[in-house]
Amino acid sequence: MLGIETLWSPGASFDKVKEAPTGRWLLPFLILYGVTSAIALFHFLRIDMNAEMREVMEQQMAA
Amino acid sequence: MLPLITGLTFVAAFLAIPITILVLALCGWLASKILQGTATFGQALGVAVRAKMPLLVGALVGLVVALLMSEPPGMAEMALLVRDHPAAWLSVEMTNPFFNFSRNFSVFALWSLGLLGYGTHRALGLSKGKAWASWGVLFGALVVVSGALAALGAMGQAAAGG
Repeated sequence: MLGIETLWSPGASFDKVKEAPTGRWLLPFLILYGVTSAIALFHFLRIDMNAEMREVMEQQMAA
Repeated sequence: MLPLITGLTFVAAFLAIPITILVLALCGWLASKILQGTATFGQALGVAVRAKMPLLVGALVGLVVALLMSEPPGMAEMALLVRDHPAAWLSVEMTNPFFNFSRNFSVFALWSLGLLGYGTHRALGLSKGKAWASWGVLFGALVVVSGALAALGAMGQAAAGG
């Protein structure tokens, strides 16, 4: 299952690598990692934009 | 400026992963060849990918921390999103060379190193001793080189400042 089972059952996971040698799990790993990072990145960008908008609104209110 | 820095940090971290995995696979395959193991490059790549799974756990923990933030983080907060190494626990400044040195000993890096050693023994046909020794030597070299680079950087900054 995408190689994630290595986290709780490394012995069985590495046995699978021995029997079916392949690096094809690289792509699912990168997709999972990429999606996780992208969600965090968009969240940061969103809260940064919100902070900027709040600052502009405060300036307008003050004026 | 912050979105640019944030974006670049994430993209650089993402691009570094496949490169690191390929280099680790090459090192595992070479170690197996030199020490009379039975590995193919495909097996070494499989071990390297699976040994990097702790990174995924680290990324998920980072995501949870990020989603709990309601204010944009500064540079220091970005570097300490997940406090997983000794310098972070001791609140050492980011500019201190010990900070970068300490990152080699993060919980997820050590977990990954353990999986690399175990996977090399289990799937690449090396004895436990040879598997641990080969990754120990590589890890030691990485720590020395990154420590030396961080110290040189700090000396350069000090010379430029003073």
